[in-house]
Amino acid sequence: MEVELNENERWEDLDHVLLRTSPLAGMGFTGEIQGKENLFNTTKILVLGAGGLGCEMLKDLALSGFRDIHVIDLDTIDLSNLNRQFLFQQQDIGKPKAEVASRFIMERVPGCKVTPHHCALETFDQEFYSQFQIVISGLDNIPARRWLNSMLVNIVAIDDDGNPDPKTIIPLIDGGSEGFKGQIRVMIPRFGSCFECQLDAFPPETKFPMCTIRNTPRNPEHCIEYAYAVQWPRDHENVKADGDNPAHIQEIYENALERAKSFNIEGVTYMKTQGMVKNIIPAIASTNAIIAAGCVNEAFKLITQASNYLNNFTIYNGVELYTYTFEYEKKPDCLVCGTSSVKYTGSKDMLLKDFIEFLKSDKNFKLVHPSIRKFREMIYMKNNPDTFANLEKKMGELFENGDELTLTDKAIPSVLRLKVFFN
Amino acid sequence: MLDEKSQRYDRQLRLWGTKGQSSLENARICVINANATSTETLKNLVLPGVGHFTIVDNAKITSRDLGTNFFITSDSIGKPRAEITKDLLLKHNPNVIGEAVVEDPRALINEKIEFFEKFTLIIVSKLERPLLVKLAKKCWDLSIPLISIKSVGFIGYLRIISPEHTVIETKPENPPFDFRINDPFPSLLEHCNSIKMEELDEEYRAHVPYVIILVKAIQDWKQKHDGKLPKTRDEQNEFKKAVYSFKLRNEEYNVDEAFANAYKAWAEYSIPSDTQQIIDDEKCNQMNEKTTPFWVLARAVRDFVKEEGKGYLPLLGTIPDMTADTNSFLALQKVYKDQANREIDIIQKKVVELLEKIGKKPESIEREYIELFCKNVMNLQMFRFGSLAEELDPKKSKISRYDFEMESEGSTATFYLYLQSSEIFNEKYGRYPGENTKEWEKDVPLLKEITLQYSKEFGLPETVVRDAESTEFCRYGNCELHNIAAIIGGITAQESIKLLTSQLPSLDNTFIFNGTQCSGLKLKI
Repeated sequence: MEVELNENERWEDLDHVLLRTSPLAGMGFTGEIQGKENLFNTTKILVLGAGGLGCEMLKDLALSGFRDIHVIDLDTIDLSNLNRQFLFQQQDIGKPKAEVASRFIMERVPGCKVTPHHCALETFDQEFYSQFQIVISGLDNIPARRWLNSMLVNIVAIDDDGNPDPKTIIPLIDGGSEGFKGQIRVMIPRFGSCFECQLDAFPPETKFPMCTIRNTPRNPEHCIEYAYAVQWPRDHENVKADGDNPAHIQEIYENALERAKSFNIEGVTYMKTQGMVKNIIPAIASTNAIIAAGCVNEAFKLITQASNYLNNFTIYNGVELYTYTFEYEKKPDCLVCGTSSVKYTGSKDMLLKDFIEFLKSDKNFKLVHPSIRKFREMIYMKNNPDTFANLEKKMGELFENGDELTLTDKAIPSVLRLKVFFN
Repeated sequence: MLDEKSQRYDRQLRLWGTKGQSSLENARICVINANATSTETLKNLVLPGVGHFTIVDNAKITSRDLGTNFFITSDSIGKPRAEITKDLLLKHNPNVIGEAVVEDPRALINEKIEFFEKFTLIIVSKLERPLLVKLAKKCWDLSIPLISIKSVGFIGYLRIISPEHTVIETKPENPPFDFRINDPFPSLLEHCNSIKMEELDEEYRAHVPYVIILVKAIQDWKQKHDGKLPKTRDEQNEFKKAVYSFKLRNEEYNVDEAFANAYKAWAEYSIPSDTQQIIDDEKCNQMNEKTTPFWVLARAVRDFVKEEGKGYLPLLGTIPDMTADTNSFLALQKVYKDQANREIDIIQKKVVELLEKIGKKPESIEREYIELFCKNVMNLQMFRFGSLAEELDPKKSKISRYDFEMESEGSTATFYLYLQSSEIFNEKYGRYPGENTKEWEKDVPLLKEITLQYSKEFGLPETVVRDAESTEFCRYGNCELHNIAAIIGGITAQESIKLLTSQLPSLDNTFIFNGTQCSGLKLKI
């Protein structure tokens, strides 16, 4: 005999922490039914990414009482996703991740509505993002997270006294994972440090010195780097090596292997080549499960106040099995959420083109293609040839000491103000 | 192009390799009680392709399961939980075999305990303590690792129980180096002497590996100082100056490297403490037909250190990348590798002799295994997790006041006590604290009393038991929150993979996750 689902019984486990209180519950938590109703009926949450972390987050949210979930992902499903992105199966390969994941969750968890968006984050504007109470990110790349962070910081309304309006604050919970390790962070825009403040948390990329690559390779990585960064562009002037194209990987692999042989170096493999060309980060189901659930647990606590939320960073290390929790400090001169204006001090004689290179490479800026204005005057813009002559001019010719520049860049959806000083 | 399986498992093969993968595929896992913590664990083992799993559970699915457990459908209420969860889990990987045993685990443990003998790993979630103790004893005697897991409210718990686990591939983040700079083996010394810095042209000179510069510099130093190494700060600075004097031109980055690594020239060789502990272990003295390859190797290495090695472990034989031209680097690499191979030959001889003594075939330990052991001889690890019986015995427990007195983490450690005392609570009242009752607050003083008693028995100060945590624990009423289940399921899967592949250090022996703080605490109890 089939027994019917009893909605009251179904959420009994959640009820323990939603309808009972204790001295360890969050500030202002009463354990009244309104809290539960708020979670179930009025909370709208956005999940970024439906990959390793995203799939887990969707499942965790659906079983934590969130019933109005949106998810954005621009990717389609690949065979190498299936070892951890558990909402996808063999027959889904090639289909949009957001759509397949949403359908799976809605079928499995009755009453939970998931709205998929198969597109890039940048497709949406401020109005779209403003509809959510929380944004939770399982993205695997820094540029998208920077963009989103800046969007959420800008959504916060500031009153005449310079105080942020709490009603406009959308907390951002961010998860990241690599191998057996990961991190969980809770960012309250304008109150605590933001993603931009925390950019230093990412280690710099390892780069091989070019002379080693060209002249004195000593290990398989050096040979692969040569085949990828030197040989490929030489042999294919207008085609970028595509990590998802097996023919490209095969060619790079064969070239690397040949080079390695000529130098008597062992250890070049297809797998290693693919790993370097695609910049593959090892990923497993269990780590994603831990990080995603840690993030959703924070979202649950933020919305319900059933317990205090994380302030604001936890590192998880599954190799030695430990966690480390600390508060990442807000940067007063943060590009995105800083209150003091950003200052740049440099030489009068520096050329504008070198200044732009600096903005691209410096770890505090990491801009992509900055456009520069001084008041209303356009100084440089990538698509405006009239401004190109300025590139060869000296900073001292273009600006006065203390001038405020406005920078726009696709890395962040907001406008940056930068004061220039000469030494 | 790679085959289908290599593509499917690509992101994990980069962590544990094909050997780790086949260990996983040969495993037979048993899971008792298909609650959310268990199925989350299983999901994380099915996805990477564990060979075989068995779920033992006679529960019928309730509406409440649907609120916490993802591997249950709304039309399956009233059906056997083992069957449904098994079927849904299997959908996530066609390479895995699963089995549901719809029997009361209590009856199996009490009447058919031999049922558990066929597994390589047993995972138990929320089993009452007397049964757990009984099962743990059986697994201990059979050397089958057992992981006991629980999620209670915002608190998660994980305990590994097994007499012993040895790991060769611990994969340390900063791998040890083994250059023998101040006591070079003959072929290294000869190689260094064959390179005459003063005769090299500029280009070559700037590409002499720094190790060679250091060997030369320290030889020179020892000659001038009665064979002694630089000991005091002053001497070390003087030595560094001597190293720097090799630098003739700005481009000689190799000399900068030698300067930065000068400490490697005066550091006295010592055997890492974990390795020392392993080769000193009683097990090296008790070779018999049951001795595992690991201990045969440990014994062979011990003998090597005493005899041919003259205090040194077998040479690692690998060197990290350093400034050098291709040929100089490969030549140096070969010097180390050849010496390592010669030493592995000696070890292999010893292994064969040992195997003969205990009546085993010489080929029962392959050369590949010996090589792996020697390559990792400086980072071997051994874990003796301690039995559950020991943990529960106040006279034998390794519980430490220190873990409970640290202010910042105090409350997380305290939850260990509540998890233990709630078992006593259950034995006394027939329910867990705060469970199945509207008047849950009445359980707070009862739980607090039991916990105080428990702490006292184990020599912990009364102050570790507080009202706030007592209330919080009763609030949970033994409920399972999906997020905590997923976190414990993830950590349990990681620890299972480490045990099954014999890679990476294991948790020794208890981990508490505190979801109110998003932090965890390791305890050795």
